[in-house]
Amino acid sequence: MLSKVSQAGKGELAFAGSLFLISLVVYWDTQRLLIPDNNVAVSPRTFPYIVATVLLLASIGVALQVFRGRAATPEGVEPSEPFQRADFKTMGIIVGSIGLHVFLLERTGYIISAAISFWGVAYAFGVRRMLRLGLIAFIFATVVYYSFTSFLDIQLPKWIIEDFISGIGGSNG
Amino acid sequence: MGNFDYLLNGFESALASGNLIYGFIGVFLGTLVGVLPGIGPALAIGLLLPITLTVQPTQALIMFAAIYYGAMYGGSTTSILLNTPGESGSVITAVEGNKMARAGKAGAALATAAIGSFVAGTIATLLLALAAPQLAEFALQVQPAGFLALIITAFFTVGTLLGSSRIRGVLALSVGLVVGLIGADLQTGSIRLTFGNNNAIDGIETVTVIVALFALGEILYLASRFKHSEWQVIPVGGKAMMNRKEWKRSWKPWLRGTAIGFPLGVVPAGGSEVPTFLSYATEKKFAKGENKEEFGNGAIEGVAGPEAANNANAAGALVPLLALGLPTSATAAVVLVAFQSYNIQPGPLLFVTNPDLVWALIASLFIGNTLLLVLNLPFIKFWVKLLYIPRPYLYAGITTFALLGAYALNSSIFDLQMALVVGFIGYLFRRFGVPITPMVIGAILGPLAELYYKRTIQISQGDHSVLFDGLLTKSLYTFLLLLVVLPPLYHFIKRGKQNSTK
Repeated sequence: MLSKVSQAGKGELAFAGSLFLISLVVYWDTQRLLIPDNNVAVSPRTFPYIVATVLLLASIGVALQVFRGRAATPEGVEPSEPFQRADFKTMGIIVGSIGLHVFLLERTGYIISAAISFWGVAYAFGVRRMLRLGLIAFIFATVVYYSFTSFLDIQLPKWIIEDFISGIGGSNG
Repeated sequence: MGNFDYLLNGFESALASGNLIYGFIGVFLGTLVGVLPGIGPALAIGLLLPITLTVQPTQALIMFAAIYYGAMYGGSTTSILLNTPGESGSVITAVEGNKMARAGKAGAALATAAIGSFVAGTIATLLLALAAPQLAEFALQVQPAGFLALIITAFFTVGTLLGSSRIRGVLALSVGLVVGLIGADLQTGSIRLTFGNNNAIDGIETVTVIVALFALGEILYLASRFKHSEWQVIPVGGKAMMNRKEWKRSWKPWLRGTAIGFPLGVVPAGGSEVPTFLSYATEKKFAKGENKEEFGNGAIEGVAGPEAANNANAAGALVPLLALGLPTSATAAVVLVAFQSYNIQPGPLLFVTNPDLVWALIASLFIGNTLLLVLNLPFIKFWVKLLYIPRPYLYAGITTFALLGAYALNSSIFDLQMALVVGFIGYLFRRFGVPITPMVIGAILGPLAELYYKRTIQISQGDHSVLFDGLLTKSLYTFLLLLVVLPPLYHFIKRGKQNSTK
């Protein structure tokens, strides 16, 4: 049965399969739920059970569609276009640089972590003039940091570099 | 005090000195962000939400209304000049608008879109001012069971009308419902699906979900299909203006578009896809002679009608949002979140408890709509320049703002981690043809549905038959039943007929 499914269809089966698993996780989480002793007419379990069942049925439904040869058409793609393997390298660089942003934000401050994610995304999308890109990323992050913290009173994590630049600017912000 | 007096008061507070400047800032920021390719109104509002939180409530409302219209206008500019619609409502505009631009009529296309949006927005806001209080008054008598039925109707229509496949719409909805489950149960405090992570007890921040789904999901999807190609911006020759003939061809589509868009926004018909398409089909039908020939090659009616329908639809969606507290599109969902962060809880009681705020908002919508026309027609060339930002830098900038938006609302690293996870879900959805909006609606309305369900059952002390009590619930559930049963039945009969003729 699986041999008939196209390559794109296999990816979709994995997608439907993981949502199927998530619905099982919801069932599992719901049945081990701690329920307070107070007297309530409706248990906090009822609704999650309904939701998990809908998800379970929908994921099975999508899988059945794939088996019937009705795999999904990706957004913005004509059904006639040949299957194209996802560009995992470009995606990987982006996920990596966003991950680094999340990791560094409260460690090395906003400017460095935002410059890194800006740099990473632009690099992934094909910019190769590293020095120029690095400079743009740094200036962009700095401008964003100061416009949000000074004009909008939105606090962003700071580190030595933010204080250093404030020092140059002569403000104590 | 009558509603009219309230409206005048609303204008008074909105126009008070110092407040109008926030309208200008809002129009500027809204257009600025909305013009960027790939950013629709829902995302634009989500990204700009932290900024509106730094000012007074009335000022925030004015700024917000201006952002709302600015973002929509910016989106139509992009779809005309670049053919990359930022949201489903602009898809139809892109069809004829981009053809017009290619034929050297970009100025007229932009003008009919802008003026049409203004006309539709003004009429629709007027209708909103008339309809919302009536609906709110009616809604005061609606029981929890009625609200539950309304939410379930919204689930069905949004889940099954959007996208090409019903089952995938339901899938998106249920994933959203699961996201809505995360955290403490509103009534009993039972902790669901947090896996011991204390950050998740309050649930997943809605703005984070929206920003991640629409921005990070889109960036990842673009990356997955990355090809080294540059897009082509069509230069605007001359000014954004129309000649006499173009005016003549535009005004009727504007009005028809408004008439189609507004009512379909009030009923939960699943966003702006349906009304814009209906308006396009209507204009194509009404067109005669050589105008009809132009359809498919840049007919001005095909821009004027859908653009008006899109704007009227957005204002129409504010009726159930304000009067019932029910968002029926992704944009309305963000609006709901925005109001909640201003400590305004939309719903029937809002008109009783905070009439001043409601009417300040409605007045702000009128003002924002007007400011937009005044500010943007002359400055169109400035906005077009934004489209020349090279793609890699644009995507890097969008990512930066999305991450900032996800973090800044609660200064929470956990929100940022969730943004990455939800962004990846957004990628998977695009990759496998699953619509995004039902997930947003599910995540927001899911907890509300559970609340109304529990209230109903609590009042009836466990008797489930009350779920169907009352005329409203009965008619809504009948409607849903027909929606589910009729299409397969129709196919079945059609197939039967085909077989018998063979």
